[in-house]
Parts: sequence; structure tokens; C-alpha cells
Amino acid sequence: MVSAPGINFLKAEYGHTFSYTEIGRSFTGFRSVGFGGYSFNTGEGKSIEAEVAIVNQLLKRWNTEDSQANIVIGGGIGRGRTGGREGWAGTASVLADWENRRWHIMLQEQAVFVPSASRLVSTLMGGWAPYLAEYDEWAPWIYYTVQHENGAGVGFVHGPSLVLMHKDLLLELRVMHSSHGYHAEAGIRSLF
Amino acid sequence: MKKLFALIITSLCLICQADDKLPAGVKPYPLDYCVVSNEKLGSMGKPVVFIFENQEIKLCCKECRKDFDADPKKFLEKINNPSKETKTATEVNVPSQSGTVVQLTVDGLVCNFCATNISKTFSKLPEVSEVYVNLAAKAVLLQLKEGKKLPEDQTKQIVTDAGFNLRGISYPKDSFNSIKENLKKSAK
Repeated sequence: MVSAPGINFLKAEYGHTFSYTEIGRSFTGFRSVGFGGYSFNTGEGKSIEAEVAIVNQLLKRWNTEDSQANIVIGGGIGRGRTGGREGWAGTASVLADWENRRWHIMLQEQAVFVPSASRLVSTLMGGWAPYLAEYDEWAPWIYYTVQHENGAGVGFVHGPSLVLMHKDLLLELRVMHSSHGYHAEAGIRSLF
Repeated sequence: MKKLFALIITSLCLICQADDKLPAGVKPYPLDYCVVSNEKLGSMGKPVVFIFENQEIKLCCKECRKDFDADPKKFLEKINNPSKETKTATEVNVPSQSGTVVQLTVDGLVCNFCATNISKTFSKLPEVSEVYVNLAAKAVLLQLKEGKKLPEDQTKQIVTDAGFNLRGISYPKDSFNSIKENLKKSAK
């Protein structure tokens, strides 16, 4: 996540097979740089754990009267464990998104490097706001996410999600379908 | 070929020249502020310019055009006989006055987190006592503390550093709460 300078962020996602938390801060000077640490584990055949420090850089932002588009790159390095094996872990990602008050579309490519279980995760998300709410009101969004994990034996994962935004808080509930069946996921993001 | 080229250039020059001039019989707009809102022209972006009953009209924004169209006679009267009260209102619109309300129009302000970012950024400033963000109007409303000033170039830099573009800045004469309520109503 990249925010205005001096703003901290928390991002956490929990699902049947994984958990992911990231905490960080955006800095003055590098106004589009944020960094923090995260950990996750996945049970899709292999148990993976990693703790990685991440740097995100807003490469380019386009602001128009009614919309915004961004290109963000990110990278991280840390330690990871796959089963009994331990070693260096890392992540590299590029994200492009466009949004106005009604629509949001996001495409992300993320490479995750962990011992014996590196993978490439491609994510496409499209969101729609059923009505326009002000930022001090609850703003609902309906998203559909399609994700492909290459190298982890997961394949395609897809499903709808409901996102509720209120001021500096974002709550997300997803129902995702993969070759292993349906599972629920929840996420929270906050700026503070 | 040369003659044709010269003819094209001459025609283009005449067209460009014609753009700057008003049609015959049309009176030029005599004020440097919007007759509807009293905002300085250009403070809300490119002025809205049109001709009404042989009078050139310049307004600060599209919203004022709606108000103008609702009662054009009233505003024509104000253009032809600008009252003392209107002039005073314009003179009040001077940047960096103590206790001033500042209204920013910001490009890229489209989501809750955008609003939170810019709200938190301005809230941290010692000059600012209150911040209100309205996504529908792309507006950031600032109440400055008594005796505090916030220069325009500093304001623009803060907006840029937060990741947005400042499109317009104005210093409305109404109170912070009254503008806030109006923005909320217009968003509905």
C-alpha cells in the first residue's frame, strides 16, 4: 500500500488456507514509498511461512477530475520456510489500477520466492459501487477477483467479494472457488 | 502551392484573431470575479464563458451556470450595477487571512482512502483547525486557525506531495459549517 507521507497502514487477510499481515508507513521525500513486514502460510499442498520486509514505490499516478490511475512496483526480502527447509525469501510485484467513484479495476503480477515453492501470482480484480457514498459514510463495493497461481499447484482461484469502506477503514469478505472447493476469506485495511 | 499555403496561414491568423474578439454588439464582461459566487475568475479552473442577451458572461464553474440560468435577470443586473456589497465580498477573497475558510478543488480525489490521506495530511498542519472532504465535489475544505495563514504555494505543494493535483483554490466568505452543509446537500 502507498499512502500520503507520514501515514501508517495495516493490511491483513485471513482465509481457510492462508493468513497475511503487513504493517507499514509511507514517507515524506519518498512520498510514494511504504515498507513493512509480512508473514503468510499456505496449505495448498505445502506449508509455507515467510517474514519479508517490503518496499512499495508509486512509479506513476495520473489524476483527472473524476478518476485516478496508478502504477506501483514492490519488492521484499526476508526469510522463508517450506516444510523443514529454511532460506531466503522474497517478493516482487507490479500493480496497475484505474478507478473512479463507480468503478475500479486492478491488475497485479506478483512473484513470491520461498525455498522449494516459488510461484507467480496473477490477480485481476474488478469492482463496482452500487451507489456513491461520501467518505464519512459506509461505502459498499462489489468485486470479482480472478487469481492464477503458477507453481504452487493451485491454478485458478476466483470469486466475488463485498468491500465496505468507511473513512480510514476497509473491510472485505470474499468467497473464493479453487480446485479444492469453496472457501471464505476476510480482509481488513486501515490507515492511521 | 505557395499561394495556397499563404492563404491557409492568413485564414488561420484571422480565425485566431476572431476568437479573441466578441461578436459585434456584445458587451464584454466587466468584472474580474464570478457574478454568482463572487469567487475570483480562474480560482476554480477555467472560467465558463458564454453570451447572454448580448452580454458576455464569465462564471467560475459549471455549478454557477445552473444558478445563473435559474435567474439570469438578477445576475445581469448585478453585472451592470455591481453593488458595494458584492465588491466587498471580492475584496475579502484574499489568501492567507486569519480565520479564513479555504476551499480546494482536487483532481484524483475519488475514493475513501484518497479522502483519508488528504484529510490526515491537512489535519497535521498547525495552521488548520478543521478539515472536511467531499468526494462528490472533489472538495477539501479547511478552517484556518485565528491568526494563521496558509500560502497558496504551500497548499499546492501539500496536495502534490499527498499524490493529487490542485485544480482550484478559493476563499469563500461563508462559514466552514455552512459550506460543509451545502456540499453535503449537493452531494445528495
